[in-house]
Amino acid sequence: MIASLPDELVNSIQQQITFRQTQLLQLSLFYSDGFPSPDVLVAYGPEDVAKLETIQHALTSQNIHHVVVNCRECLSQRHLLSKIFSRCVKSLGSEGALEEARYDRLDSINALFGNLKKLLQPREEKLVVILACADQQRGATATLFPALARLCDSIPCLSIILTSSAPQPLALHKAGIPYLYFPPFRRSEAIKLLLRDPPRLLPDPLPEYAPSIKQEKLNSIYNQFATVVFDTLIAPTTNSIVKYRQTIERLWPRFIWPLVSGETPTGRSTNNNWDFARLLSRNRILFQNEGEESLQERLISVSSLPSTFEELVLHKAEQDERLTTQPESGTSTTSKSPFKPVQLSAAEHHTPQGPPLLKFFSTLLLLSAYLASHTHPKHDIVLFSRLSNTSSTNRRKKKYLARSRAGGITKTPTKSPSKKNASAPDGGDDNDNDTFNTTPSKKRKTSTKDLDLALPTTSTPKKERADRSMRAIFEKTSNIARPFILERAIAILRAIHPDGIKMGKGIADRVYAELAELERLRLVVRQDERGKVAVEDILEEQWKCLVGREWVVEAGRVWGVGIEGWEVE
Amino acid sequence: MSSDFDPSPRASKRRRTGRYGSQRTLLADPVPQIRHVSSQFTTEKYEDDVNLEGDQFDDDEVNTPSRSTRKSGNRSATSRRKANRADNVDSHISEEDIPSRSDTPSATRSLRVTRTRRSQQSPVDRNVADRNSEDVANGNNANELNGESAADQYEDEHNEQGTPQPRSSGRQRRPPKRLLETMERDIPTKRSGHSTTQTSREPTESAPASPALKGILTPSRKQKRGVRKSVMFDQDEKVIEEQFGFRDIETPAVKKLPKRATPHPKKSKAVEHNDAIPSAMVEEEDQDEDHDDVLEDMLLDEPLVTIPVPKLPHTETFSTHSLVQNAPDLQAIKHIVLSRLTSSFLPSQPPTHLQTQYTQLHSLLKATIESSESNSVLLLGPHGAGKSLLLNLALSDLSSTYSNNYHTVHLNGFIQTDDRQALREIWRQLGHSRNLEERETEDIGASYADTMASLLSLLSHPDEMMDDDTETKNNNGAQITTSKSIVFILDEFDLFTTHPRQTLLYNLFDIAQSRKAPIVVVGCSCRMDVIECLEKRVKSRFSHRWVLVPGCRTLGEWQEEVRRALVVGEEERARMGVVEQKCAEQWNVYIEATFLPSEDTQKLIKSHFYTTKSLPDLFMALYPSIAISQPPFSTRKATNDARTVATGAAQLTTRGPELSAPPSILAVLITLPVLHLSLLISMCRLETIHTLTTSNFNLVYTHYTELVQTSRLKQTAFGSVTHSGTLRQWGRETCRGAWEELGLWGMIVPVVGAREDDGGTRGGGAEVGDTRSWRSEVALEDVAWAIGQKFEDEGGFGGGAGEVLSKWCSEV
Repeated sequence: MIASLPDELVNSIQQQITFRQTQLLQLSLFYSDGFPSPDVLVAYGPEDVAKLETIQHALTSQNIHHVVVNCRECLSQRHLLSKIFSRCVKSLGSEGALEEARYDRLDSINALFGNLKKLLQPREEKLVVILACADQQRGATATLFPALARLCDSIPCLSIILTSSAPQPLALHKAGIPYLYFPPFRRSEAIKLLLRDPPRLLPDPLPEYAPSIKQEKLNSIYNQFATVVFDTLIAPTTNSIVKYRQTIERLWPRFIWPLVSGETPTGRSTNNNWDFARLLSRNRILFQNEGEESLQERLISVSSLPSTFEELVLHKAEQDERLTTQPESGTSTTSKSPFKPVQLSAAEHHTPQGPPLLKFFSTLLLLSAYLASHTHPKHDIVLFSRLSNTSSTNRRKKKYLARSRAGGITKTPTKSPSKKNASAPDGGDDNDNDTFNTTPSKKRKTSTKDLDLALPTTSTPKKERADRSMRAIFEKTSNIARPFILERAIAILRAIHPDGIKMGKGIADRVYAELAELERLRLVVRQDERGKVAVEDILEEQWKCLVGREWVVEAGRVWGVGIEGWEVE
Repeated sequence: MSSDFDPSPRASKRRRTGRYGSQRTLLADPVPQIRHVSSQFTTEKYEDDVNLEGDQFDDDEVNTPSRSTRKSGNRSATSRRKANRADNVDSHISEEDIPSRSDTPSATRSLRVTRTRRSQQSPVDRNVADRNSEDVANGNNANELNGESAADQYEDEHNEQGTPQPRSSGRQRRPPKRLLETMERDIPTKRSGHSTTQTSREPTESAPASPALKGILTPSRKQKRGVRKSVMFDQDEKVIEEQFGFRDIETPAVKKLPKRATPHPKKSKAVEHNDAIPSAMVEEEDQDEDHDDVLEDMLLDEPLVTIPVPKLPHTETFSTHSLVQNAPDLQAIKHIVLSRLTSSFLPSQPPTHLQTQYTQLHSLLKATIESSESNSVLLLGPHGAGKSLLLNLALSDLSSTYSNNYHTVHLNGFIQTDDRQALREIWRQLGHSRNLEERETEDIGASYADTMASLLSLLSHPDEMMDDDTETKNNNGAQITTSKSIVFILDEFDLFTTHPRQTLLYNLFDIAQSRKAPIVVVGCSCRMDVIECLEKRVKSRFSHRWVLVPGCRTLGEWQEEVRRALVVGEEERARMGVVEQKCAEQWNVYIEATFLPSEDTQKLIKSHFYTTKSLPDLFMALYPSIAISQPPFSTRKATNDARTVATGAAQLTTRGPELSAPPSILAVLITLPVLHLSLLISMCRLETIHTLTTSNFNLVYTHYTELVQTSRLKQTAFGSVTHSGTLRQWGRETCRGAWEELGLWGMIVPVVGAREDDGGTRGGGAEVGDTRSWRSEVALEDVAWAIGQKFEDEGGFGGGAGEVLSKWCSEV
């Protein structure tokens, strides 16, 4: 019946919750004052599609009491249960009665059931409990949500709405549950949403050098900009309207800056005005790598370029100041590097370099841990041997590395020891070969074991070849860290220390302490061997580097140490 | 009064520990107290043994001296019952019964006549009984007071007789039945041997301010103790028993004492049913006045263009007047129908295809409630087949006849996840139905063994309560002679079988199959092999009665069910009381002639019949269209209008995404962005080409870049007419973000633990970040299908990308 939709709801449909009319209508039919509501309703769809907002809106407009519990915020099942109850109590305004009513301790779903019954039994009015992100509840047992879905069976005034963004249905084991689908916003919808609610289009206050810009023109530029951003950056990578908005907010100031700063457009043209096409070609980079960077969520922005209006204004002011002051102070330097100071200041300003995360020694240790994890032990003697650190062996080392790079793929994945022996001699120097051959085949085995591959162990020749090539691909690309023992890390550390460590000086103690520190930071991890009791001898303990190459390189750069010279590939 | 009386379960605890014995003397008459303490010790021990070792239970019981006699008594009880039903006076009944019966027509009418032995009846008792009958009308408290006084009275006599000596079996001595019956008629709670711990007190004294006494099933340990099978007989009783051999005959009758301590269940039920609806109706009516304005507005100008459905053509032509006039009735009708759709409103009749099952179940329950036959039954059928519906229907039907003669205990395997919680819940529900104070039930269940012990004791000896008092029967009517049965409803029965040792099930079935309290255990499950889940000892106690609750077999039945759910029957209309008959008829005509035959509705009905066969699901799908449907109540309107309405209404359900379809991974797959799809394709390709069942981000990313570069190369080689076809190669960070999102959405799942042929050397869990192993939830064909769907939907946009992606899928 149409009349069951109040007119304020109709109005709000047009205003606030856009592109969710169907869902809103269905919700308001299910949850209206006069009619009984379904016990449970599941709203599902990907993230950021205004599920919760729509539900809340529908309920508010019908004046139905509702409480929202975000399951993502609950650390355990018990936490969730007590949160549900406390929210219910709070929304009913009966905190005062808590003491008298002697509610049970909320240690089980049964207790919640009893308490809610006690709380809501005398009540006639509907109460809707919205459990948002039900699929993301931590530590939920298999009976939790089925049980919650059955709470309403004996508490007539209670209804439960679950929202879920998981593609798998919640196992509620109950028939007759309406599922309400919230599809992701379509292209036109997403763009319209952004157009309706644009970010700040111009800096506030407008700098004095900015030319007067007509609002209509600005709007039309923004419209086209939003469309282009959606097509180039957003549509291929995400469904999220929130991310879309963020990206727009990050990119727009830089996009419109040439216009705001009064820069004259380059190129021959009849009129010297910025239009969208010119801005686009001027800021093409925004839609390429830098645009991509803005898609990524980071705690600390890595980009050294200003991205907000304020930063841009400041940046321009600095730039202007430099340009004006430099001729006075001395013209000689300006010709050499007119932009260097600016860039420096920008870098200083925008990426405040804090103290490095790791101390020098720890960084070195991390580097050696990484190398130990990602270098095959057979290369150790070539790469890290103290004896090989002379100019003659350096050459030999390079030679070896080049060779291994060239033939590595066919050589490394050999499985049988005979094959390995066959391939190894033609691979390298005699001296090196000796060491290769003496390395027990056991090591080789562990390295293949390391691969988390679903390799069929049955071997027809053809398949074996396929396996081998695949294993090669895998080894090359998967970058799985191998466990290493402490002794090896110390040896590598000695080798890669730029100043060297004196022979007599023992560093094992210090290393162990630092390694523990790294472990606490989750940069390395102690490999727990399943099924084995803890290793008593610390020298047999297995470690593994957890962080990837980029991270290690980044950490090393701070102290001016690198791993480039120490890698096989 | 309450302080020195102390009916709380704590008292029993104290007694057990013994140190409270002295305390009790402060509160009570020392002489009986001490005696009871001594007897309690043995009993308690016995109880604990029994309850902790369930198997032992039966043996112990068999050893009980009274067992055999009771059994024989029971046997004769049934025949007796029949005799009574035919209003024949059984030859076994002693002479004394006859006069009492003749002056109590109600008693003869009642199904069970108890052996009455008025010779022992003291005048005080009779007074009490008389007063009790008056008190029926006066509410619980008064009854309970009287009950207590009766109990006290009994206690007096009991003590005077000096019979209570502990029996050699260690069982507690019981008071003579003829005395018990008096008080128990009034306070069935008391049957659990309140009497044994009661101190003597004058009835008059107790009357004014005594605390609420508990019914038969009062969860209090004190009662448990009393309830413990007592085999003590009076000298006279023994004589009688020997003479007639039917000491137990009346056990059911005794149990059938009405429980007046609780508010009349019938009444309360009625309140539940009827009160809710009228109040809602009132609200609706209020609302409707508001609605009328809104409605008029809406009719005048159509503001609802934004809403897909509301633009219904008939509204313009429709006379506002008729709508306004009929709105309250329409709301009422819709309320009935919609509450039936949400299964919050029981239909008057069981579904036709479940008629036999209903009869079966009904007779079973009736036997328990009426004749105190314990039983157990399993209802098996899929979710939404109507198991609970049948049960509720049967119970509500029975409640109209035997309103306060039974309790129901609802347990759900999902909610009561272990036996301890289940026991607590049983106590809570029984306590609730007895209007117990909260703290009394709270103390119960401090330990599992205690609770179980109390429950067992509570349920294991109902037959000790005899109803000898014809006078009371006379005054209180037939209901007095009926006992309290308990209906245990175990939803998700299969989950109860997962509890360790199935203690709860064992004990419930044990009670049900042995001759103890009249209980019926109804298990509902959708697992057909649930019997196999039962342990041997549990299975052997189960009656092996099960009722299959199938879904509709034919489309005709299905249609009929839908029709029945949507039309408003005469009974319901009467029950609601608001709806004019004309409106109801019009509604029915509308439903039958317009709504049901409409194409969309039929489509919905059929699709549900051929897919889920679940009526609740279909009802939910029909809910919105019913809620917005606007049947033409004015007679002059042609059905044309109505038809448009119906289609308009059905639009909502059919045009929007299917309401009853739970999310599926394929549906989500379509909505994924291109990058996510590319990564999935790479992963699936690795799986297909290299038989990698697990892969990590590094692998997938490498493969992805290879794919992108190859396709780029190809395009440049072909001259690349379609520039839009070039796929952008996204950076590692972006891809990692997408990868994480895939994991978040469950398209890929992390592989936990090492593979078997790894020899267990690697803990997969230790891997983080790029090297963590993942497994794809979808296959390459799924992705290919999703790409086809996605780019078909999106038309021109990204068409080139779609082409490339589908090529990746096909070129393996």
